Amino acid sequence: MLTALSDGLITGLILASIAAGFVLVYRASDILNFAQAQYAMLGAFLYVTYAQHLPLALAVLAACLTTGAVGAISYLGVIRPMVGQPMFATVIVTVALGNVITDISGVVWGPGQRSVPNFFEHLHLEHFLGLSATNVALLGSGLILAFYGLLALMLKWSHMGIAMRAAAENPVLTSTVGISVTAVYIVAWVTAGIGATLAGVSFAQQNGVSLGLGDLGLLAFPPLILGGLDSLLGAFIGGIIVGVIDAIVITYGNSQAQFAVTYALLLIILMVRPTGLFGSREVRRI
Amino acid sequence: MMRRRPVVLLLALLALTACWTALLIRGSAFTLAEADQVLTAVPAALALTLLTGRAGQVSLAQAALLALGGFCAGIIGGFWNVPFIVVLILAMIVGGAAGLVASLPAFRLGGFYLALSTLTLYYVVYYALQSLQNAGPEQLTGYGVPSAVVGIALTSEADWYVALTVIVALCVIVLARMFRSDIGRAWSAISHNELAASITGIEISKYKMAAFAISSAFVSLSGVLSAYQIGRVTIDQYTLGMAITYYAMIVIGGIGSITGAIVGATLVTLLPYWTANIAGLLPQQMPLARSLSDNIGYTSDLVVSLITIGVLVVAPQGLVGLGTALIRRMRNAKIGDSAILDACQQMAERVKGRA
Repeated sequence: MLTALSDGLITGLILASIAAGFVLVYRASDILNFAQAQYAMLGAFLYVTYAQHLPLALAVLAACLTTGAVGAISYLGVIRPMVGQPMFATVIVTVALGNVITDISGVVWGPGQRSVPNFFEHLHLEHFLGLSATNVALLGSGLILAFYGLLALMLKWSHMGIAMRAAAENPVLTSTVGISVTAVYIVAWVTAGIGATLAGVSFAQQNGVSLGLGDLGLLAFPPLILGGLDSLLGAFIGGIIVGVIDAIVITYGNSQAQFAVTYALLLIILMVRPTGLFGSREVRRI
Repeated sequence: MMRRRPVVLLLALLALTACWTALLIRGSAFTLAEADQVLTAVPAALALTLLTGRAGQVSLAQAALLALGGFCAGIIGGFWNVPFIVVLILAMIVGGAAGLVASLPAFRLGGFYLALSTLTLYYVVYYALQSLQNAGPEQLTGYGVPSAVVGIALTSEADWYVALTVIVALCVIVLARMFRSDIGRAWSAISHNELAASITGIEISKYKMAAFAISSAFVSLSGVLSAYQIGRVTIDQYTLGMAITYYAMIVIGGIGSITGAIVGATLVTLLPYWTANIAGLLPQQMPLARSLSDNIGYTSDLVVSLITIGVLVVAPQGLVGLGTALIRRMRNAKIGDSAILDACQQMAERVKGRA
């Protein structure tokens, strides 16, 4: 039970940081980015490639920056020109975007599984702190926690964070007081890419990276809905709850059932409490 | 006027079939097997024309509905030996029921939430069918599907070509009539403005559920057809990514247009073959060209996805929309050879007649 819990906690943090990307992008540009999970996969692949030439810490940084740039390019090149098009078009375009990232990764890195250099190995933490392998993985999740902390601080107090909240509330009014809404949106997409990369690298620490990582990222939708579509705290808590449920299903049930169970949960939440635990914005009811 | 419409439609269909067959006989454009593949995909593409193009809803559960159709063929048709036509109808009922269940949240929600609930449909159906397959002796081999019998057994590609043409023609007639009826207009109203539609007395949630149920039935139909042609179904073949293939069809052809769905299904089905040919022509010494043709599955999928994004960003109306815009512009510009203009206008009329 304890291993299930700690596994669940690690998975939960990974899901939470993917879900954080969904929340940021949804709050900024009112669309659900179905390519978010593919950013995580791309980030992990980039980390493996960079790690062959760079120190590991720099490799993580470089992977974050590259994926962030991909996020910015996605927004400027694909999402921004789609303003005013119906909701279904944005869903199709982001799913296609995810496909493009998967396919490019497939062409560049091939369909096989790649092992990932352990970020914490060369620090030899296990020697002087007496940390086991699981704890090392927990430490990887600590990276995500730090990201979350920074993000929350930034949204609360920094100028950009306040601009972000303002733009989410009312873009037109925000632009009239001299804030560049486009810049705000770009920051949101870049941050989403960075969060996804951290999630992808942490996940790959234990399981390696393959194209299937993009599918696994779809597990981040149930936490998103559980937490409420527009709440960062909700994504965090939802991620951990769903991660633990997921680990329990895998440990005591059938690993093939993990998607069916978590998505059944999503449907139940949608029927019973569509705003989730912490969602504030009114759900479009009809 | 209304009485004459079906005749026009039928004539348009006959013309379309004639074009197809002519291209086939010339043999240069595509083979009979590829034509069968295209026609098999058309009902599923038309289903999305209905759901997304007309009613404005999104579903990512195409693979689950195709799987339901396929497993109906494998279990009801193969295991219980029920005739092909009965399986076809049963599968449409099963698929329609699944679509109805997935759209239950439509009573309370819209937008993205409904799209996410179709993901639930995919994962739950996939898990259920996977468990079913793994529980029996079919775990590794999957279910065998007998050859379809409609009076005579459909065995050759030519048999299937005729049968598929008839089925696709029926689908087109049914959907074209539906789009022009009350329910079709209600869908259009909902997709343009839900609030305005509800004020005119349209019960939005019911029409949305109807759109999900009917379109799901047509996707299942595609699933049955392909299962009978392949002769075997296993759950592994139904991946989530299939959804985007069918969306690529309607986006590239033109969202909301029946002609567009057929054009798009043709292009998207044939594109992988063309991509493979082109990738083979690239100089194989180049590392990029090598990895492109080594991972040809990803390359062709990449081409389809890129074209889909390009069309959505640059020309959201798709090829059919571009065609009509071009004709309109030529007509307005009043330049060029009048004979060409006349021919174009006639073509436009024919396109309109078909759509």
